[in-house]
Amino acid sequence: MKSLKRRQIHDRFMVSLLVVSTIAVLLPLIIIISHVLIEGFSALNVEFFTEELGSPSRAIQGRPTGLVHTILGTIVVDFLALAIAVPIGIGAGMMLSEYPEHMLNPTLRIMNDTLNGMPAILKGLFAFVLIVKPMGTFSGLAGAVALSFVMLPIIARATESALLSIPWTIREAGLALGLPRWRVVLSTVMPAAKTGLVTGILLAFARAAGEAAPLLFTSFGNNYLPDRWYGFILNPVDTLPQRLYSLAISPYEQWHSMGWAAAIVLLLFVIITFVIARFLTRNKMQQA
Amino acid sequence: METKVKPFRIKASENNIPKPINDLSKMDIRLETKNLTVKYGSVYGVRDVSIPFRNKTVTALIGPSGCGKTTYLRALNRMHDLTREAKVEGAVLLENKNIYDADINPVIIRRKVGMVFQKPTPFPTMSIYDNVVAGLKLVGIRNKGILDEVCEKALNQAALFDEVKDRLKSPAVSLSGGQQQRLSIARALAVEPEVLLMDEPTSSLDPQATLRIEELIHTLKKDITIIIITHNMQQAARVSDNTAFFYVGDLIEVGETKSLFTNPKKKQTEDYITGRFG
Repeated sequence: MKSLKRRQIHDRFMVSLLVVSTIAVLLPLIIIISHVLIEGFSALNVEFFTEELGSPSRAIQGRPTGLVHTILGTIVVDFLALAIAVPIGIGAGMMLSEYPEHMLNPTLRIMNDTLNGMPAILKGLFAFVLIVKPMGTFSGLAGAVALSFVMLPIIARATESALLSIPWTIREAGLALGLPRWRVVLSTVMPAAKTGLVTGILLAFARAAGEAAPLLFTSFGNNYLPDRWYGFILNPVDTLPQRLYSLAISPYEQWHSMGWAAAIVLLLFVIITFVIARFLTRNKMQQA
Repeated sequence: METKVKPFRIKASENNIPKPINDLSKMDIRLETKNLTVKYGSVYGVRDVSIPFRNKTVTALIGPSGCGKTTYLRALNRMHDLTREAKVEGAVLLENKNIYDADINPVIIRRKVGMVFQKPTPFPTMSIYDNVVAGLKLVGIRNKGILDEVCEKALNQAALFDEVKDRLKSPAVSLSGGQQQRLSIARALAVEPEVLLMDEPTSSLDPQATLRIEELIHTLKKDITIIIITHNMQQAARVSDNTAFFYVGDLIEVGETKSLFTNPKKKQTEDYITGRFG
């Protein structure tokens, strides 16, 4: 009985170790979110969502100032990046999971993992050479291309695992009906993997939405709203992570609190994306 | 799956291929394998198997687990194309044309040689109706009249129509396991194959559903050629006209079901069907 007692104590000790690590994981998250909320809340007002930033004097003199151009810029750049990365990423993911015997498959896998591990700033540098240099200007497009390099490998890998989670027999059943292989993947495997696909795309989106490094010398930043709508694509454009950085390193007290507010908006931006996605992927067929 | 590899014997000649008891060669042969060998890398799945399948008959493939039945069956509609390690040698003649010839499109072959799997395989996001007509709809047949007709016919053939006629639009995954398996059969029948391959179609079903599928096989035999794998000896005896016994990748014996079960020519066959091993 003594040894049983000891084992029970041992067990409790091990479980408490797990609890400690759980808290260690959760605590930073809670501290970060609460700190951001406390610091940034005071700077959040209607003007924050309706006015452009302008020069520092606006904030210092208490004139209306905000980050509407940053929020709009982030939406344009992020969704443009998504539009570039989703078709290519899903295509690559399909190649990885559905054509394991293809001779390009092993190469693609290595390349994709390398791209995933590559520092984001290098992707920005590449987009700079690819888009900014020929265009002669920083632009939202360049930023989107840089971010799409961040999204691509994540989407490809997530697509692969989402498709692989669908039993192989589904594909064979499709093929046995005399359907071409691409048709089987597109009409039976992809719909079944929908939830996994959307989740993967969102993970990539959330990850890229938080990247500042690749945007610093591609979309560059801008204190003002563009004159015309396509200015978001063809001219230098502001984005939340990069603006957050600029505000934080600025010497103005007022801009610092605006930076915290920008952090709140960035957090919300990511959270709302997740909520929408959860809502969209509620599939009645799969619940049955 | 553990496969014991026996040293490869001398290349089979016409002489040492087991001859079917009733001389099948003179009859209406729909599908035939000649010296069919499937290798996974250097491991043999099946070796040198030659079986003729007569039109509108049922042939049962029996043998212990890992003996190559499934490997053999999957070679008959080029399912091994998807497995990089698998290599197929010899010939599978469908109406006297080798389906492994370079100019043959496997998609066309699989349209003629359908397949039903061990576990039900409904397409999870599709309704019952869409599942049944998938083979037609997904190649561009959109005429609702035709699709409705095919759907009803196939479901009737699979003895499922009465159970689902009021809920054709509900998800296929809402059906029970036995119904899902009959749905899989209906889907395979909807494209009107000439040959139907069934890989242990009743292994995951209860006796009631098994019975229905066996009845179904009897009915289908009027129109198509069926090759069925089964671990259930009684089932083989009940549903098949001919039986082939496989052991460790070799075809040991093939012939009329009745004589194979009552009067096996080979010792191994006798040991297996009397339950001494396997």
